Amino acid sequence: MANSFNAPYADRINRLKEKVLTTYPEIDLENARILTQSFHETEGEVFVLRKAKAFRRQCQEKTVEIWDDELIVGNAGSKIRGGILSADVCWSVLDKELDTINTRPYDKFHLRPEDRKIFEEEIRPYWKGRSNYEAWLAQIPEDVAALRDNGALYIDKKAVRGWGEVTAGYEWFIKNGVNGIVKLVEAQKAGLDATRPGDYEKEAYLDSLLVVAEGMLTLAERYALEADRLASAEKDPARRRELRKIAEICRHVPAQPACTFHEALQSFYFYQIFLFMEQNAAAYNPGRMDQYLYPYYKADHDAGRITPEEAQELLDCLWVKFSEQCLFQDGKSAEYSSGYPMFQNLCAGGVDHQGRDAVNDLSYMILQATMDTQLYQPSLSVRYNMAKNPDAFLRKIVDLISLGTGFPAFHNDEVGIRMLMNKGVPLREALDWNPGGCVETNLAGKLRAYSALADINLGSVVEYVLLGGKCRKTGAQVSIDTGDPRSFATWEEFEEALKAQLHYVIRVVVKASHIIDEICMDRPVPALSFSFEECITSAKDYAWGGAKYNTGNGIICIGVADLINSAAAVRHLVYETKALTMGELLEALDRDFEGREETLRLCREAPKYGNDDPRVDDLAADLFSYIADEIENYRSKFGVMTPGILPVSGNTPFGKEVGALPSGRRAWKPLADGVSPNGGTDLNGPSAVLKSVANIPHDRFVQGTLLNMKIDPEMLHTENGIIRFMALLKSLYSLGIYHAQFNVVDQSKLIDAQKNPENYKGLLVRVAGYTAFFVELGKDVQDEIIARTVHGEKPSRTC
Amino acid sequence: MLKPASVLGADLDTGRKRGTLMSSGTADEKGMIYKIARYAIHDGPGIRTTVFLKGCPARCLWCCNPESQRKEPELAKKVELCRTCPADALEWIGREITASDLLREVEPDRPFWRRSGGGVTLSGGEPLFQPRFVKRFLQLCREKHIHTALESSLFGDWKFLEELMDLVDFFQFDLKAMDPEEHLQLTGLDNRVILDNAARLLRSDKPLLARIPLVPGCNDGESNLRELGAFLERHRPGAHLEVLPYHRMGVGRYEELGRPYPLPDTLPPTEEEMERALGILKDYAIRVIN
Repeated sequence: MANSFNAPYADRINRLKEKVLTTYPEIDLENARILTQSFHETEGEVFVLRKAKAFRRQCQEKTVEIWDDELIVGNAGSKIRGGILSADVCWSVLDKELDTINTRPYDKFHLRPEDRKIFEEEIRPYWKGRSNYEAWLAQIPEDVAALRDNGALYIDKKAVRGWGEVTAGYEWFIKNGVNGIVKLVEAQKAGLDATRPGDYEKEAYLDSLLVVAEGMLTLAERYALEADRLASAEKDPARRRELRKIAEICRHVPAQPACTFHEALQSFYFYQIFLFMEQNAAAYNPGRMDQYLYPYYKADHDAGRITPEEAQELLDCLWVKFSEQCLFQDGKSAEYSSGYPMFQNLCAGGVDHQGRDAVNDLSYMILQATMDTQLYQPSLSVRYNMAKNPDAFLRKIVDLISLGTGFPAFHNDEVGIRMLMNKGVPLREALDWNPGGCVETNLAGKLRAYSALADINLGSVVEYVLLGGKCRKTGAQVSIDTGDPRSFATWEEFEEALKAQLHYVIRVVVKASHIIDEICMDRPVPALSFSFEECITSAKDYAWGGAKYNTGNGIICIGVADLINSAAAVRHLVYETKALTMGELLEALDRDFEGREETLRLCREAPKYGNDDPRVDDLAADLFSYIADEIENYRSKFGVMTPGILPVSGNTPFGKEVGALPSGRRAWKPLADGVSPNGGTDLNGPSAVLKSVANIPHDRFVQGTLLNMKIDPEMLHTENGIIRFMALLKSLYSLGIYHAQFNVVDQSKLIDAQKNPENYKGLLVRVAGYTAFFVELGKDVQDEIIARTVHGEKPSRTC
Repeated sequence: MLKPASVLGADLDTGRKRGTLMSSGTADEKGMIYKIARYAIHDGPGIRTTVFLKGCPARCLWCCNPESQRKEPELAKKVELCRTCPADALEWIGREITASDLLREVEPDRPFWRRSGGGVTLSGGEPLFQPRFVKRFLQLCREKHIHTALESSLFGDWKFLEELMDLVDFFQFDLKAMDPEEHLQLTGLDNRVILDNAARLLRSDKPLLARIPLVPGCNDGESNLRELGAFLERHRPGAHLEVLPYHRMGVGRYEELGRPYPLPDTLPPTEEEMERALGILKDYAIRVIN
């Protein structure tokens, strides 16, 4: 489905886009091969320096290509849509999936025979026993493994990809250039005294930053040479001029501070690919691009060096580049976040560091770039500040929502600011927050944490209360025994058991998180740390806590509505109306309601979250305040542990681990996503959903909360509908809900897309915190999206 | 679905003394409603919460809410549920509620009214059919500073409508056919009182929206449209008129109630038919919306 727009540069953008859309993702081992060769040669040296030298060698040797039509150049790997393997982190993932990587249900990759040979002969022999993933598998404690292996916990993802989940200091990088930062590194180095304890480590670390800087300059120069080479051979004079200009720009940035908008964009993108080269990971968030690029745009525009159309074309070109990256991860992790999600979360809107309206021309152009390209990256977010941002900005947001790409993710600015402050960031800097990854909160160049370290399956937690700590699917005793629920005389006793199970599971996750923190001390990232000023002034890597602010890792809850509705059903049916005994309920759940249709009906008709019903919504407030309290009770060596509610696509695989629930959800079906109601149980329209959802203490879940709503596109096709929808967003804002995203695709289109994927190659859907090509999702994820309730409104009275 | 046994056969307002009807007493008046719609975006300004009252004097051939016609609660056979769960197939439509309880039920929507300039809309059925309840509810809304809209056929006593003028912020009404004979055939009602009330409302300064459901073969003739345009132009130049194309979304509802659908062969107007009607109406000094 080619997107048609009428700009003079539309042809170029559509050609660039077509190239991405028609490329099948492929395993890209060039990067891992060079890393491995470099490590052979640096045996015995300081580890971080070895990492830096491997990076420099990648810059010296990697494939350098500039493709037709490109104005922004660079590629992290050797191919478009390559899945780069970070061998030092997780080589063994590919080892296990060598035969299945192109046939697995989620995120398939083509693997060429010659690449397989490189893997088997060069990469595997060197890295065996040396990766972070193997360290984690060797160190995982029994109680963690028990929960993980019985589907209550998903905690491996940090071991199978690089850091990510971070917003680098792009502004600082672009503004100072590599040479400017090198000066700072050298000044730090000059202050060291090698006879002082600790200074040798610092010197080695600062040296690694200088090595990384050399690599960066080398790669930019190689792109300049390639542009010159192509220009010499180019017949079309217009393209020749473009290539000469690209060469000129690559000679200036990132070495020097950017002087023009085009240079700033190119400098930005170089840094982005440096990050991917260092470690392929999700959520290297570009952050507040409308803020840090605006001075360059404005200066160019005021001086008559650029027209808005030319600037838009450059932005659109960059947008296509964002879609070239493909996250490589193991099959299990892909199930939890499918769609090759890179989560490059880029944001517009909000307030500036003085709390004033920050919306500018570039904010609109950034939204326009996603309207023009309609690709799955970048993950576009808005910080909407109702008090400060103009209605015209909100209108532009709704215009983009109405296209049905699932973008932008709509974020409540004031709640985001509060979340940052709750992470320990002072207001002055919290005003500059940005959404990261899915819906997490971040702060460019200053904040370190895994914002989504582990997922807890709340459906399993309910099961443990009902079965005394046993897993229904496997029968194994994996959690504490809180007693036979038939002996609970009151709701309070049941609630106490539920909280005891939550307490236990959270405790186990915290323990695991601390172990992963230790393993990650061996995962230094000098290229990433290069844009963190405090990493340089303290000569301490990002991985070691060198950033200005550090927090404990994020613990994510999945199955929110399942927990709330199950607790509400037990309270309502067993303790309040006494329509069922606990024994009858347990018996029905044990047989997945087979032959117990009356019990199923009672369970389904019990009060449900998502209907603005106080008989259930009080539990949303109580249980999630309790969970936030519990998680915040713990600290890591970096700071307070942080809760969040973002499912990515984990609610589907988690559902496969959980039997029937008192909410009336049948066994093995998907759990609810994010803070959204269970599909099909919200009957009163979007305003009632929002009222229910507002009961969750959003600002305490500082890694973000995610609300998915599917809106009938008809509602956004009329002026009347658009105006009302803007008011709905404002209402959402005043209710203190942190985030919402809207799928405005109708079900028939999705069903047809499932049957005839070839006709829907470019069809985007918002899966959870991100948008993916629908046809590339697994069938059950597709089914789940199709099944989500469509909110709409029929004309109420026409006669 | 609770069975509203206590109200079966109740005569609503009509059984009471006329004298109390116009008073603004504090008695908690009871009314019969059958649905509350949230996030209603076609029933007045902003985001609205629309209360559908049960009972209507009209029997419009195209009515898409046949369950709103009788004032008593009634049983509907849910077609979809029949297949799986016969016990559940019957559903009660209509429940009695006091004005203050109704206020409690709609008030959770306040955040949406506030941000959109919306409020509560009373629709139906015919709200004028339950005057004491309607008036009491509107008074309660006034006390709470809630914006109110009334959607009515205007088939009622002007004296009562006049009393509501201070309690209703926005009126929405249909002018289904201008010719009394034609109106009688299509709706079962004489339209002279309707047109008289409409003229008075139009001549006031009350914000309002007039509407016409455009039903092919029923009321889409040129003369009806011209009379409608002229009527609005005469009584309020610049009046807003919304043209609603006939739709068949109510067909299933008739099945569930076990009643025949009165317009089995009528189809929604084509785009050309809509254009033609809009073209005619645009000859008049009114603002036509569709």
